Amino acid sequence: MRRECGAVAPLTVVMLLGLLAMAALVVDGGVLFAARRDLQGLADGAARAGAMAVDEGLLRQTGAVRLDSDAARGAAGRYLVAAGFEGDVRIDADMLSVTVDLEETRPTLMMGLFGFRTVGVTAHAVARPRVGIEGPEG
Amino acid sequence: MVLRNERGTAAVELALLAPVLVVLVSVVVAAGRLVETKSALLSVAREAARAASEAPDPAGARDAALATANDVAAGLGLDPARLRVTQDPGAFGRGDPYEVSVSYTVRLADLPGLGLLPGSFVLEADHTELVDRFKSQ
Repeated sequence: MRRECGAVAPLTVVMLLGLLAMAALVVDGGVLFAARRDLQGLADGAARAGAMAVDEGLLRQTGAVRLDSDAARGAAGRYLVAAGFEGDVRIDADMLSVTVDLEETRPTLMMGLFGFRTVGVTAHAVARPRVGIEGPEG
Repeated sequence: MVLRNERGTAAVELALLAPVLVVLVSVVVAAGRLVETKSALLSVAREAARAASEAPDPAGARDAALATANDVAAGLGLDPARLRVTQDPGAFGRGDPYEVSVSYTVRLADLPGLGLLPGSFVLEADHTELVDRFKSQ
């Protein structure tokens, strides 16, 4: 009989690596979902902050609810600065709506063991001013 | 070292490996719990801040945020007794930031972590909403 004492150990090492990879995938998948939700909250808040920048002069003169797009961009940007956001920001605003796109790189927890040290997260939010409590576009 | 009979080595190895596997599974379960709770807390903070931002006055905002936080937490399966809600209403002027922070103690003591996992873990989330500039008074 040939010596086989070392034969099982490599197999368990491979198996353990596989299990570790699966655990890392589950853990970091979850972290990624939480990070997306976090970023989405920021994007929503910034868009909503921008959508409050209604052009009050125009509103008083004509009764039309339109955004002051420069003020809207400024308000959304200030919200993100106050929140301490350090990723990429893209804010578009016109007279009707504010669009906020955020992108951020976050470190992974366990996937670093397999070479994936960071993961990119993005969020997209649109907000528009609404009047009264009627339904959408009312 | 020459072994005369190697039957059972796989079983021994599995026995040695079992604790590692148990810990690995516990880590995955704990991570799932933590991630689920973190997501829930982010929602709780966001909904609470949103409710506060539309309230007519600071006292109403505080009550609205607390009530909403408890409602949302209960709806997402959190235990309200372990939820802490702190609020920073600022000046509560129109357009001012209103911050709601929540923390929650996640229990991990029931998982077989062989002393490598903490018995509980405190998670936090916060959200800032601007007080509605055009809300009714």
